[in-house]
Amino acid sequence: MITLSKLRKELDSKNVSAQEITRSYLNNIKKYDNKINSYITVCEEYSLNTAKKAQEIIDKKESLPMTGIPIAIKDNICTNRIKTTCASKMLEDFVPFYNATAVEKLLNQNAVILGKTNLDEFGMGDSNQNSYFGAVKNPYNTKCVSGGSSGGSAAAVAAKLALVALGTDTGGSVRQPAALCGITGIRPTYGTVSRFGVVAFASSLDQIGVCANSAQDAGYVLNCIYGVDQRDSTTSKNATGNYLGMIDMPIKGLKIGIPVEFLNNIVSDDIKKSFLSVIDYFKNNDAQIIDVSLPSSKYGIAAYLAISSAEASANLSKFDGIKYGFNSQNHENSRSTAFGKEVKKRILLGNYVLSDENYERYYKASHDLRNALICEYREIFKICDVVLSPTTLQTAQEIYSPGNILSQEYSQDIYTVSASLAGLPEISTTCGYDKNNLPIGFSITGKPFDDAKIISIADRFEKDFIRKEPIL
Amino acid sequence: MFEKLLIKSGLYIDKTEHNIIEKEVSEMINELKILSDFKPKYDKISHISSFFSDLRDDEIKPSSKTSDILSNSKSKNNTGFLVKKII
Repeated sequence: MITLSKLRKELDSKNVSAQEITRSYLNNIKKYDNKINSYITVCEEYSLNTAKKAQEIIDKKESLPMTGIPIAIKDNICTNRIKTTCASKMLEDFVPFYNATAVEKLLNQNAVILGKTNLDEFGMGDSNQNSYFGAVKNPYNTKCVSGGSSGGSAAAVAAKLALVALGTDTGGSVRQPAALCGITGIRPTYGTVSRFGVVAFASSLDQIGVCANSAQDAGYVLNCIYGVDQRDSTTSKNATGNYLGMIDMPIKGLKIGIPVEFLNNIVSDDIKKSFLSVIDYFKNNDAQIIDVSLPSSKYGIAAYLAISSAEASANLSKFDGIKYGFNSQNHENSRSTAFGKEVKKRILLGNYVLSDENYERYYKASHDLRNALICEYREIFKICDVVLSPTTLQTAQEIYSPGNILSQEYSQDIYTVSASLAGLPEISTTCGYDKNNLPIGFSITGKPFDDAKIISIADRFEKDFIRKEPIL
Repeated sequence: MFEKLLIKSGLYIDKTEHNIIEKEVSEMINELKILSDFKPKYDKISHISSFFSDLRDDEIKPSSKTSDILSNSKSKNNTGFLVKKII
């Protein structure tokens, strides 16, 4: 499996050129992306030009970690002069005139942007079936979903159509598709990466994350994109970088908390078996397993739905067809015509939750719940270093499966929303495969700004776990 | 109620979609009802911003106007991120 560090060595020792690598990925995209639909926009000419500049830097022996590295960007992150659609008819032809801060940082190191990846419309969804440009298919079984909302980013990395990819994670939108597509996905601590240039879904929950083939690769990218940004007041100076600084940290003596509520909620036999084997792995390596409790987690999905929908209804109010976005001939219908069903539902729910008669019952209650979760995690982290959980309730389901009722639709987020609500870092990595050879992931949650630790623990596990490659 | 919500949301949904979306939004509202079972049990509720303020650099100070807004919100409804209450 090619990793970022291996490619860095190959590029720097001139065994391969940036243009060759870029052409190789572009050829893969041409050959395989019609099967998985992971890209909305492919930037062939732009990426080859960037690769040429990157090679000039490499030739001068001035390369930085991301120089010449082929990367895909989720299509809700602004890229200067490259269409940024959010997978919505509303922004179908939107071309930003600026880069998101994270993109700017990658370009400052001459990373090569291959294109913009598919997603659930405006980041709303967990299966990537809510895209104006069609569903993303899982590279392990193209009849199944990739997960979402960063399904395009995860599928592209899994299918070797990008080495790494940026996604955004609100309630699990990097971790969940990473688990379903058999790769590694990290959501850093809230405030680590600037949200400037990310088309906002829920501002108190959104965070740029990384889809990669390994925890180390995710750490390399995070080292490039983290940091305080004057244009995003929620970025924190406590994000101090050096996300690979704890690699090879011993697991012996590590205190790992397992919330009993998460363990009791596992319904899939395959996921239970894989997760228990993860616990055994850490026990066999002399980590200490501690039963902990996160009683407020059972309200997590409800609180997440309320808060995210409320914030989404405010953030998407600017798309009125006048200042921004699609304008229908009868402009009253601009929003109705251009938004997909899921987006409409979330906007309606958000306005419902914020209405005078429901504000206390749902919106304030959700924030009380959020505070309770933060307090419960604080108590857990007094006695534990990290928390483990399965990443998803199920492995990848079939696309457009009938009877996709609400309680199944949102329940996939049950393990991921708690860390989102508490602003904690969480990484998902592959730990097994179900009877249909679909990937299973588990997650490691850390204390605020302990991203380097969770990367090192995931890296250690990955060194002892052999992944299966998808066959396209 | 649903018609009022549509107006507030700036959405005009045609008849074919109307019933489906109304039904699905009702189901989402039902999902929220579990929140009525939740009783805050921490005497001193940690405001979400204070979770980070333990760790944030003291050099980052909000403007005086922002701090007025934050201190007012702390005393009234303890929410971390201000979203306009729709009346």
